[in-house]
Amino acid sequence: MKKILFGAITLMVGLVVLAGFFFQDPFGPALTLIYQWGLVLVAVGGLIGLGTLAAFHIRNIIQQKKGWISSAVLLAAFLFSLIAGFVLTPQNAFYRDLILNVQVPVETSLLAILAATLLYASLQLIRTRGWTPLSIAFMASAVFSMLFNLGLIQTASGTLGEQVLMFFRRLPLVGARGVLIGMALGGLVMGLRFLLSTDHPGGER
Amino acid sequence: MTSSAVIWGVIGFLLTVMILSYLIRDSLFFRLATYLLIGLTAGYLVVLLVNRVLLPQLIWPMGAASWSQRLWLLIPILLAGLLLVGQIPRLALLSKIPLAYLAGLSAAVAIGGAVFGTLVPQGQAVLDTFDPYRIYADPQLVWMRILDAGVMILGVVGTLSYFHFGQPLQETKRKRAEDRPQILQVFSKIGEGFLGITLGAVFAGVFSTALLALIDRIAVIGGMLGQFLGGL
Repeated sequence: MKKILFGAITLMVGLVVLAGFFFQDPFGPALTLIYQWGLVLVAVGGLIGLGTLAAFHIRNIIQQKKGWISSAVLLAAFLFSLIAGFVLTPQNAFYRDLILNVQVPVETSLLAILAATLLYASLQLIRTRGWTPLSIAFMASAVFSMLFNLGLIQTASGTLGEQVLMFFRRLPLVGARGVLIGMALGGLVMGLRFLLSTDHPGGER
Repeated sequence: MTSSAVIWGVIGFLLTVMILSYLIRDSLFFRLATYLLIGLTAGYLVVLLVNRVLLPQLIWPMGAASWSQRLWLLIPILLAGLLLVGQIPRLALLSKIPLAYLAGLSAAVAIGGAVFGTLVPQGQAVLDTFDPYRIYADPQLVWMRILDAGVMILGVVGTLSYFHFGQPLQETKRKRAEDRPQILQVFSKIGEGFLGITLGAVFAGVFSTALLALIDRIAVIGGMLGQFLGGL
């Protein structure tokens, strides 16, 4: 009975949204309402998730588990940002400075570390997988793409060389289209399985 | 330079050094900086979710709406309440109702996005390479356009074949059940090459961006040190 109820809710909501893709005029108002309710639920779900994160770190501090100092920093930053946000509002200049002046340096530095990590990982790819068609194509494409991006390989406009160069620059698009079509097919099948309750995202059997 | 700019600059400098210390080893400084980012961002997210979604969608309309509109607003409040109450282990079943709603919504959006956002435009782009008007637009480049179309269809079919892991429904002559049909094996080898080319190009893009970020951070550190040393 429970399974039928949850399946019916999923199917009903899904069918209305799908119908809205094809018949926008009659289903427009219902779709707006469904999206708004969904947005509210996602927001509440986000709050629950963030609450769980805070609760986890409070437990870490109380039980003085390994890394509790980091948890204390996280919790202090969380509470400071939360209280400052509600008192000053997100539009306040100080609050925006606070968020941006922490976010930008930390995120840019993390991206900078990624350069070293990527270089190491690409060399590991060759060491662990050996010279396969994938690894050869990967390395060759990476090197040529960087040379192209740096503008080191150039030809005169309107020549055969330019056409050949353009052909090589278009090559990565071919695999990308295949990957995108594959992902879309996968998404379509998964969506249909959810809607028809073949899969149960809520975990019920 | 104003005093607030100096303070923010020093904070940015310290955070940069703390994060980049990871290049030497995973230290406490690195963890503190990342936890600080997570804490601040989590708090900011709560403020945004309440200020931009919950207040304007649920609370403020409650005060201004008519009775019939308030009844409609009760539905998301009820669903949100069920989601919250479902966090209590004994009442976990109740949260399945809003989750079923979200599953239906996200599945339909995923189907719509997959079909109208990806399958149709990407399929159209593949077919467009076979458009005779495009092929014969420039008589001197006909062979190049034909080569383009051939490579496109070969690459797309090959890439899709690489990810094909279906099992045969009936018994076959193949030695092992996990072996794919020979035609698929050939195409998947071709697809492997195309996939490598794509991943290599993506890698080059991400690597260049990350390298630029590294240069930017080194410039920030250099600039800050220069200012301090210049001021001494």
